Amino acid sequence: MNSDSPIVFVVDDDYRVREALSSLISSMGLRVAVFGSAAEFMESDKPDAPACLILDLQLPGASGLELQRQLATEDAPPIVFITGHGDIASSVRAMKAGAVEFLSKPFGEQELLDAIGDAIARDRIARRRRSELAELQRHYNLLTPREREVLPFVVAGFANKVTAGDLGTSEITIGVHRGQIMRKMSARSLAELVRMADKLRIPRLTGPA
Amino acid sequence: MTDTEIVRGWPTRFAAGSAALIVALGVTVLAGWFFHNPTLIQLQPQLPPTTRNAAACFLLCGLALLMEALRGPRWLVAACAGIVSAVSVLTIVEYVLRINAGIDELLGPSYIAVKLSSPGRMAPVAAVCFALGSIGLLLIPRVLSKRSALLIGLIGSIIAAVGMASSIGFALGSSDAFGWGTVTRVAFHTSVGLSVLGVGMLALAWHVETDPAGGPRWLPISVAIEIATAIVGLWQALIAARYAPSALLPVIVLSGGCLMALIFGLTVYLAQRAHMQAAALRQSEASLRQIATLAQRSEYYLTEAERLGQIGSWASSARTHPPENLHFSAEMFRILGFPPGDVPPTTEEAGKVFTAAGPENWPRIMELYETARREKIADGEFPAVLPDGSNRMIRIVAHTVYDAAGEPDEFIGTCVDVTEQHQARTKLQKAFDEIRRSDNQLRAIINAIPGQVWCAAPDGELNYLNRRILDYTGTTPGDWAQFGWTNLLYPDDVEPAMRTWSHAVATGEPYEIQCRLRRSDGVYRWFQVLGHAARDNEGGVTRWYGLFIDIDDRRNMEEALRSNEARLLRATQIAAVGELSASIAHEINQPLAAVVANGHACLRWLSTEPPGLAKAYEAAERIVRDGKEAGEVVRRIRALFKRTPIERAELNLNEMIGEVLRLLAGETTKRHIVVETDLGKDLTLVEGDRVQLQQLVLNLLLNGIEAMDLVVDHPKKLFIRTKLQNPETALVEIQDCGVGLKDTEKVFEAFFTTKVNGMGMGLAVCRSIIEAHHGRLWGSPGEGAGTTFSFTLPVQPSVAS
Repeated sequence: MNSDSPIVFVVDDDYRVREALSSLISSMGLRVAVFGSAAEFMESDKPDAPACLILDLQLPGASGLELQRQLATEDAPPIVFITGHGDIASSVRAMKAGAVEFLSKPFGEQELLDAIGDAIARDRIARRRRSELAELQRHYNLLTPREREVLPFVVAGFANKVTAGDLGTSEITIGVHRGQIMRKMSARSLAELVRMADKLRIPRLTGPA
Repeated sequence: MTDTEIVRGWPTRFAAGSAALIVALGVTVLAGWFFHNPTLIQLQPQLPPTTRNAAACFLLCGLALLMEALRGPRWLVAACAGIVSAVSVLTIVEYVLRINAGIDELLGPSYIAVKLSSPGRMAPVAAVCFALGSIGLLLIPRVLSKRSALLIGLIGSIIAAVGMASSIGFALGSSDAFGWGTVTRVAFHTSVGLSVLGVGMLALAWHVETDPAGGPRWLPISVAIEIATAIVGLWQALIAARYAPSALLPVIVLSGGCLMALIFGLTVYLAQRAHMQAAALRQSEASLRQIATLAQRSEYYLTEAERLGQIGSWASSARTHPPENLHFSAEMFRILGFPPGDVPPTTEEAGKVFTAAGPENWPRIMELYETARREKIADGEFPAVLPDGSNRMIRIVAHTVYDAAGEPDEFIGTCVDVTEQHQARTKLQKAFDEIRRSDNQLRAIINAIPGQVWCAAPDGELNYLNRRILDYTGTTPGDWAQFGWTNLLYPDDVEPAMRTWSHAVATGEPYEIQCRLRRSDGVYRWFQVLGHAARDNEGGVTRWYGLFIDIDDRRNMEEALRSNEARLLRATQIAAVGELSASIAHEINQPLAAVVANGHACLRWLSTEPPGLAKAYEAAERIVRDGKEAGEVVRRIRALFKRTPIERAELNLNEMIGEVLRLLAGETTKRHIVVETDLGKDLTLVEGDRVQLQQLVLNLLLNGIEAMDLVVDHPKKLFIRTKLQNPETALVEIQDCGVGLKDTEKVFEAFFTTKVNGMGMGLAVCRSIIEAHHGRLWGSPGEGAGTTFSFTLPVQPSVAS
């Protein structure tokens, strides 16, 4: 299996459940890695591949929901919760926080397979989106500070003359900056540059007065 | 007045002297007779002699008079006077009846020849004088009254007059004087002797008259008789001098003499009266002076007494309305707060003192006067405000004085300031009321106590039973005195009750027993009977005080509770199942999930190309293993909750606690509770019912877990420790770090709960379980936060069980 093949992480404190899931998931032809606690999972090295996290709701130490909260800030894999006895309150919290699925033990093979497939598909999309953004960011990082100042004026559709007036420089200089920006960002049109700026969440100026 | 108090003044001595002379005369005459010496018997040979009888009479009369004057023996006086009177009376009888009784010459023959009617017989005049004198002496009492003194005085006067008249006759040579014809004449010696005898008797009577200055009352008569006698003597002398009785001179002498005797007697009487009146006046003046002194002193004493006793006296007229004040004593002015003075304030002025304290006092005081007028005496207490503004309480007593017609004349009375007494009395009354109130209260309390109070003497004899006991049993105190209480007890309870009571009375130890006591309707109810000995300072029992407490309802409830306990235990088990359902589900679902996953895996490995037989085999093995584990979980839970009869067996506490902890693992995990244990290795086996003790530990652990639900600021930790407290006792402590308990004892009461949905039975059941195992269960505040529940169990089989 190459490095791009998906991997399933299992975090459950019950060794019996870990063993069974490990066996079942590998029988599906997926890579699998099991952990006894949230801490173990956090400390492990994760391969750069589409992934899915099967997480027991009740864990010793940090609980499943807590781990979910911690992972929300990172580029973590989508989560499928499993629980010995599900209560409505915790399932709602889990789903609101972005869980893919919430499975009650004992669960069927198909349920699990569907949940894992769904999760990995989501992760693939997320991963792609993340790499695009990283590319854009790399381009943006090439801009000089002056060019980053000018960029919002360009995407806001300001004429060079107005921009020059606002920034206290000449219209010709602004024209040169504009050319550099288009080139460094590999933007083929102003519309594309505007989309890029949106993705980079560059704050938009209000329209010309 | 007794005889010794009679003053032996000169009249007595005079009487004694006269008596001695008479005795001497009698002795002389008798001696003259015996020794034939006529000069001692007669004055001249032709004159009559003093007879032997007369001499003997003189001797005896003299003796009697002497004894009387000297206070000699009374019987001697009576004997002498008796003989004399007998002789003289007989002699008179002889003269009157002209007979000879043969008493004339008892002492010897009369050898002197004188021409006499009856020689040797004493003269009739002498006989009369002796009769009078001797009877006088016989009758004379030792203490002379005025009347007897008068009698003696008259007798003495007559005798003296007869004697003197005869003597004058002899002196004037009228030897025939006092001779009654041919009848025997008085002899000279006899006349002298009679004079002395009369004077002696007068002297005897003299001092009886009370007035020493005025002389006796008979004195005027006596004087008149003496003068008259003297005149008669003179008259006889004139007759003897050959004057015819009808001649002028004898008539003038006789009539003038008699007149003179009367005048003298009257003069003496008047002088005596004037003298006596003057003396009486002097005496009354002296008494008056004495009375005046006494009155003065009395007044002083009265004033002093009033001042010291703070009693004022007053007088007011009963004839005016309102009564006009006539007199106020000095103390009265002071009591009513008036400046001292002589003139009493008017009734209205004095009344202002009382009306200042309340206008109703004026009619009250008027009413007091009216009552006194009606009933002679009246009194009352009146509040007063004195001119200086002080509040006093004054007691007034009024007494009515009536005039001769029986009309009220004056009121006299007293005033006393009784403020202090009044205050003291008020205080006393208050205190008394208070005592009575508290006494009543106490009585009411004693009668209201549902426990029913009794008292007994130190020897155990019941001597007080409150109303409730009597009402309950329908008995009277007499029944108890007669039969005691044994016939009120349930027959089975009599023996232990009596034995315990005898023991308590003998030792003075507190008495306590439960027994059934018959109610008036025949129903027996359970009572707790308590007795406590009250002791004196030396520690001796003075009395037994006790209670009957009706515990029938409580006892019935206890029995009902005991019979319900098993069912209750079951109910709490079921409640625990509910609480544990989530954990149990987790516990079972975990191996089930593994089984299902392994099953799928197994199938998948078998269906791969080529089949992963090894992997499939492994999965199948895990299915078997986990399936068994699931079964074990189910078995454990069933064992915990199944209804099994209570049976005791030796069991290992640590093992048993471990099982419960495993059962709770899901719950503790879910709630993020860290369970720490310190299970003593040296813990020996205990005897007990496994299911009940598991129930106990489970309850305590669940309580601890729930107590930590609200904890957010520190880790939730449950700590279980077992150890040997001492060789006989195992100790188990379950410590949480939850919110803690306010009252670690109240939680053991049934239906007490701090939980929203709690039944309040858990800890009550726990305690009944541990007590059935002869152990102890208690709660105490934990270290820092939370609560520690501890229980002990005997490691050796209990002797009691």
